Amino acid sequence: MNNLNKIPIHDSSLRHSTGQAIYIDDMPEQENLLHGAPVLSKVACGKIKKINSDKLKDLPFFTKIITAKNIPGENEIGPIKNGEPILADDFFSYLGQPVAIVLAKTHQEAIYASSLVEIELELTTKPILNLDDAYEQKSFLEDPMILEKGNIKKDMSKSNFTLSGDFEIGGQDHFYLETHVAITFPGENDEYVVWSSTQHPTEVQHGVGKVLNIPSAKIDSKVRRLGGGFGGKESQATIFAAMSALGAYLTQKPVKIRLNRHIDMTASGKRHDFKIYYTVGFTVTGKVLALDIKLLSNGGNVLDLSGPVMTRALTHLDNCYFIKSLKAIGYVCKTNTVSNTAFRGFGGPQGMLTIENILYSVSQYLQKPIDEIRKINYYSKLNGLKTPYGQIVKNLKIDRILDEVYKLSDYKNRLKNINKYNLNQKANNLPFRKGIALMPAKFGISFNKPSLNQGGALVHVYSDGSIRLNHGGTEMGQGLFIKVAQVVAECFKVPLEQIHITSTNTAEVPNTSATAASSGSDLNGMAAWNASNVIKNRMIEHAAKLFKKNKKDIVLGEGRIICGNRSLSFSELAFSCWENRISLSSTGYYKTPKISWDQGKLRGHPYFYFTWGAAISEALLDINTGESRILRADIVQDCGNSLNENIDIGQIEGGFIQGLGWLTCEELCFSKEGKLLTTGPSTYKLPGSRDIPQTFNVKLLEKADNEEKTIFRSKAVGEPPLLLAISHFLALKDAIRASSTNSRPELLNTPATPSEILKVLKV
Amino acid sequence: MTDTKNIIYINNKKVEVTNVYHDITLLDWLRNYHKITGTKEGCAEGDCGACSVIINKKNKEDTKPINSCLVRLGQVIGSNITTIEGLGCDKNPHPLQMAFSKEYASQCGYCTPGFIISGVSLINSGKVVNNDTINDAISGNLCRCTGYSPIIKAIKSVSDRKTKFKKVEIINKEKKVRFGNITYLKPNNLKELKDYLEVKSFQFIAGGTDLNLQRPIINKKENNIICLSSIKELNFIKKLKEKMVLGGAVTIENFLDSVRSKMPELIEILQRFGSPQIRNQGTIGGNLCTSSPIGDLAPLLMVLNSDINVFGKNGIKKTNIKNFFKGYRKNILKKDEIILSIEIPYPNKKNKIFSWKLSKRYDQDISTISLAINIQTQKNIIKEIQMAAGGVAATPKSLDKLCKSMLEKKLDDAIDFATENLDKFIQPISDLRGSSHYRLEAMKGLFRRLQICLRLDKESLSIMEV
Ligand SMILES: Cc1cc2nc3c(=O)[nH]c(=O)nc-3n(C[C@H](O)[C@H](O)[C@H](O)COP(=O)(O)OP(=O)(O)OC[C@H]3O[C@@H](n4cnc5c(N)ncnc54)[C@H](O)[C@@H]3O)c2cc1C
Ligand code: FES
Ligand code: FES
Repeated sequence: MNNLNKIPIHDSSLRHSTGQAIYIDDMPEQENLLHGAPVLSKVACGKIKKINSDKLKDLPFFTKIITAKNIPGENEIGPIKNGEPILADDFFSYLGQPVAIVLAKTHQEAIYASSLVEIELELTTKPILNLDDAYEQKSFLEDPMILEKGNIKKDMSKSNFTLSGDFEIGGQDHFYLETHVAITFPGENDEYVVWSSTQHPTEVQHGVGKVLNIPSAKIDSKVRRLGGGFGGKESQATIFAAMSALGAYLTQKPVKIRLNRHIDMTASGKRHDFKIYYTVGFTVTGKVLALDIKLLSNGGNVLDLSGPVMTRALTHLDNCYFIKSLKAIGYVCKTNTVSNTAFRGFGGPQGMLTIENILYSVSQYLQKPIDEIRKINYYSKLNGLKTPYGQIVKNLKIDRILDEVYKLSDYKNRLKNINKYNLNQKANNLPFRKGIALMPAKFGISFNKPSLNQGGALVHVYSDGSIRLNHGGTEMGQGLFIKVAQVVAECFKVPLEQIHITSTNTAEVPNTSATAASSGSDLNGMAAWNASNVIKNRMIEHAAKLFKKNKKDIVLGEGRIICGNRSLSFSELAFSCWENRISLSSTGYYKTPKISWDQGKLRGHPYFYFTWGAAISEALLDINTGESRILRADIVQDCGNSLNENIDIGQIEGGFIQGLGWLTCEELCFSKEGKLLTTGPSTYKLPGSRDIPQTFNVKLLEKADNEEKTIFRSKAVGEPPLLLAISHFLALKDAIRASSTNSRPELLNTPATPSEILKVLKV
Repeated sequence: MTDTKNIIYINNKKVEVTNVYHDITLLDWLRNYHKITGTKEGCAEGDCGACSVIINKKNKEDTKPINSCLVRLGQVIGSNITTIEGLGCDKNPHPLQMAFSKEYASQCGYCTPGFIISGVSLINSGKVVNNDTINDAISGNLCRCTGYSPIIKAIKSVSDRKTKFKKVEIINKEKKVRFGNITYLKPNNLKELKDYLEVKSFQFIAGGTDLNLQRPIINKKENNIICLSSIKELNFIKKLKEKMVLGGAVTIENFLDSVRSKMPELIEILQRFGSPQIRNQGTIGGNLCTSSPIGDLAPLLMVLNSDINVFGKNGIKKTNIKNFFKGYRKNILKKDEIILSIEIPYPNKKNKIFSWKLSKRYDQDISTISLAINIQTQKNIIKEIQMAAGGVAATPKSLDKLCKSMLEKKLDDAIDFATENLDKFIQPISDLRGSSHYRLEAMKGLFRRLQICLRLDKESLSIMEV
């Protein structure tokens, strides 16, 4: 959708560029504001005997320590289950868990003072630090989730071959450039205003209310923009917002909590690492008949969102393939590490990497190209369209996407050239190998839990014709605000500049869902459309009266209200509406239709629709050193009728590179004691500018209006591109396979660091 | 409290430094004391670039990007600092700010000011602006949202739009600056330095890119920081007939510029040293004095047979770099001695020099292992060889014994010998940068790379060149 034939830029982009965009930490500070810094536990589990803050007394500046004992309400912010404290009380259960907060007048003083607090403790049990140990000790955060379909026993025995294996999928830190931050301002009569870098202002409102024992109505939770979220600020922002609120409650002064990078990485959750055990049964041609699979995910010390993450992993295990018989059991393991949380893709990428790894192993076993294996396994009328969880895959776009991506990438020629290249390198005893691989993807859109699929908006038209837009979604760089503003401008047919975008605020739109699951523009765009339409209809009705014509004779266009050869400007009409006592304000509401889900049985129709995408990547490998890089990527992504093509392309490029990081260079390292060692960018390496493919073609699928009635028939885009980076991981395996017959690409775990690659290379 | 009037210019405006009671960073001062908040904190360890500002230390058009999170306020008294706000505002934006906006080069926007500072610095440097130089220029900036393509495009789109920086009269008379319990002493020459060495407790600082990483900002005890960067005898580059002599406080970036003609073999490793921001601050002396086993200069300077001139109370003494390192982050310097200069003999024209670094990421990463080689072969026989490695022991290690056993052997035999017997010569440890297995195997891989380079007469063999 192009407003006025021009694709709008991000509404804040110029202010980003000039430094004038205000993030939470940039907000003016009141004279009496206090800064807080958390005190973190130094061992992985134990019982707190005493929190000793004697040393604070000697400091020449003001400090105040806050512990769980000071919490007036419940020490509880679990988004799904109880048992998730903001501050450890009697027991702590991972190394780095906040145990107390120290307040001081400056950030530096707070950090310094927090380092002087000593935790006297008693060691209790031995910590559980890896997935296999957790599984063996039955240390789970939830009952195992079982997704079953068909007759696994029968189809396994009918298979010509069976193959078993296991592999690990590494975690990933969000590394939003802006770390967790929140400020709370106390007001009169127990009112609190909380500004926090959150994807979920409503949850912050609820969490703060619970902790302070104050009703939601007295708490305003706000955010104008986040310096990146990626899921990391969906549930976990509440922890730090609640800390600042607690400080504000106890001191009756504004309190800011801003984590420095080391604390942020230590004390906030990440993408779940997984371990997979599988047995797959298949025919001579490579058709998968039966898949028996065990997924262990690392939930960390408490549940947080780990349940739904596992659900999404299980429901994306099929990717684009029809699997006749499946038994998949997901175990959300409880370990003594920081609680893992949402991260772009939300388990989907782990599920999809799993099936792709398995198909790769099948292809290797049968000595066939993986694409051949895929081809006979895709969802199709012939194979079947029913997913393991019961939803029928409609509006299949695999063929179209594949056609386009093969064309875009010149796949056939390049495959030939790559084979030649590898032969030549081998013949001349040279160290480079190339690989090329496809990744097809289907991704389900909607929160699995139906109740979350609702959105709200509040639109005001003022008597000067300017329009103020507010909705429940948060802006974290993904361009949601401009997209929703486009929708409103389109509804009123006014220039986009006439729409004023405002901060997300629970006081304006209540009971919102997290801006997550790629659903931001689907939910909020539709809600804003509905709100705008209410006002528009009232205005048109009034205009009809003014022109003494029928409503249907009135048209809107280019900021004017037109009736035959007469017209009014939008602002004139707005003024006239006010004069005639017509309300120019409306809320709008939207709930996603058609969805249902039975979490107990893992059955239903959880996704409103699917998005489709595919990528082809070319990898280069140095077999001497294990160094590798991506040379080229071609992507075709289905965005429906895109609301903003350039913003969508930005999401695709950025998501893809983030996925590359997850699969190649981003490695979380822990000590034997469970201490995260990679707590900053000096040791935790995300992709830099030289790590992107030199040739990088991104194309949106054309003429692809969503068959479902979404806002302007668009489709969600936030998460799906990330997992297209799996194409590069498979291309690396391909290059490893080309290095020598002794190499074991099927054993390659992620992230595929040089060290990991050399482990499976045998030259 | 500061004793005297200390001035810093922010965007050409003179600002007096007052009411600073702790030993804070420039970033903290800008953001928290002046609420100049366009400059962001992303990591506070020099690796993300969100805090980048442009610094001008002299009254010249000598403008350079640095990480404001990694310099202490005491280091920049008297400088002119250009922040993102100094380049433009939404009503009157700088061309590159416009370009970022138009090209969708910001998403969340948190990294954006830092990238623009790096981009402007590149455009102003007079270098050609192409993918390669842009990647170099932004190697110290991380963006988590965009995937970089639009950023590169934006910089390219205004590559000819140089920025005119106003010249301001920079007065830097104060030799003593005090914040809380910390006093900065800024000698201008060695004589003044000698006098300062009499103070009770002190520490040297050059660029501070190492020292400032883990240090107290709030200090209970009195301490003096002696700044070496202002000492004129430490700031020179001499290209003599048979060697190059560089002052201990020469920055890595100036080192890089100076080797382009005489020792081009050094360019690759220096180019991969940190980022422009780090190279503009970090010094040769600082790199050697950290005596880190994974410092990038030591192996190279070892195989080039360099000498270090040490200045102390009793004058100057010369020592070969191979004798400089004494243990993990330890060296031979006494508390009051400094590296005055480094002498690097030009390599023999018949020799080939290689210097390789392996890390998780190509740019802005610390080596997992590194290997420098200075070799001469005649008719495939090794006539001369010196090798030194980083990341394989507690100090940078000269592989003298191994080299000796390779001498006068056929290249292929020598390399076979080296790979088969490597574990007798080095016993690397496992850490978060790589396992001991990886370090050994990758080192063997580098030997094989050497074999290929010599066979094909290639200067290097990197995946980046494909
Ligand atoms: C983001 C980042 C990236 C980096 N990348 C690299 C890299 O790629 N390769 C690499 O090798 N290093 C790297 N480093 C480490 C560091 O930047 C270098 O070691 C740098 O050269 C140190 O110089 P400096 O002047 O900043 O040292 P300082 O921090 O000023 O000093 C370091 C130590 O040496 C002492 N010292 C300094 N100069 C002298 C002297 N002349 N005489 C006596 N003592 C002295 C100081 O007292 C201090 O103890 C990186 C650091 C950061 C933060
Ligand atoms: S804040 Fe990251 S480099 Fe300074
Ligand atoms: S735009 Fe978000 S980090 Fe670069």
